[in-house]
Amino acid sequence: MDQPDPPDTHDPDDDVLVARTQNGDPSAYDELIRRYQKRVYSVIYNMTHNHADTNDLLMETFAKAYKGIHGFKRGARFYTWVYRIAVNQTINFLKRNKNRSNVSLDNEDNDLQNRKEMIDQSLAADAEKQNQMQELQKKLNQSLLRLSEEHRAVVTLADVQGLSHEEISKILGISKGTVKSRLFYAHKQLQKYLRDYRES
Amino acid sequence: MSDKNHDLDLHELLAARRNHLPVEADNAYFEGIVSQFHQHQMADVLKVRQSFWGKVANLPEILSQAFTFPTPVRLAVPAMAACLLLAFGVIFNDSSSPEAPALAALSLEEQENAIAAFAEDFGTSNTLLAPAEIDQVASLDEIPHYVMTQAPSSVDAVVAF
Repeated sequence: MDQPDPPDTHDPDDDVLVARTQNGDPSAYDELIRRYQKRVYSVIYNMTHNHADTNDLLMETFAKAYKGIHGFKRGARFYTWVYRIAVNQTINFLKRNKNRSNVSLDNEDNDLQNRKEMIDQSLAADAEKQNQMQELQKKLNQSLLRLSEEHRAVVTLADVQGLSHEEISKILGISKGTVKSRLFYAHKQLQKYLRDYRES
Repeated sequence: MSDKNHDLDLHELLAARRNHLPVEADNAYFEGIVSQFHQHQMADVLKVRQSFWGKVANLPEILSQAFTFPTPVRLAVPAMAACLLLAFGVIFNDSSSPEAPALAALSLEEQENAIAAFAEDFGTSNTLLAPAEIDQVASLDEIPHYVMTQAPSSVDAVVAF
């Protein structure tokens, strides 16, 4: 299923919707949910790889954002703020449920990398390459599991969501330098894990 | 395989996930997200209801000291109904209350359903809600004090009903 590209500009409509929400119009918040639900879902899903957990965290994210909307600073970007809530909630969830989530991630990933639509969407109809990529996705899933939650978050936001280092630094509340170093470390680790799998 | 090829593989593998969501996350699922969010908020309201009854568990005793109704039976129903009115007044009107956003996110119909569910706890009717006095109460903690000092008119109204 396709998801929209991440926003790269400050959408002025968001400001209007936030202001209306702050003034007690719940339908405005409904519209903000519709606007960002797929993107936020994707961020969480790519960290948990479990639909049920993602759904729960999605609800908690939007509920937490709603409760805090009166403290939202006008001029800030709503999506940056809601991404931050989603990522923090997800990291906390993964840390709280480390053993359980690892099991679900593993099971879900076995399903994920075998799904036809993922293969069809990501590759040309090259059967040999598809098989190779399918196997590599499986190895990548196992490799991602070995990263810390913080490194997995950076990889998800940068490589899967396609966000800039600056956007990620705002979402995670860390410097751009830290984003770069975490990404560099995560890539090195993932490359090493993939190499180990190939050589084993 | 060289590091460069590993790099290409890694970025290609990760980018492939950009266009992927699980089959459960189809259009029907996303069309239902707002509705599900409202249900989630409703559940929050019900948690508030449970919390409220925990906070006011000793109110009958407080009220029995505050009012001099002829019989305990006559006291209990209207007094607790008055508390019900006051509690919802507080939750609805106090925007600084942590419970307020949960209710505010609901539609009017959903708010009415929440009120009805709340009211059923005492077998009373949601038509009893909305006395003018509710605006004077600032927080749940003030309810016992308010009921003891200022609520007789609410109680009288409930008795009349």
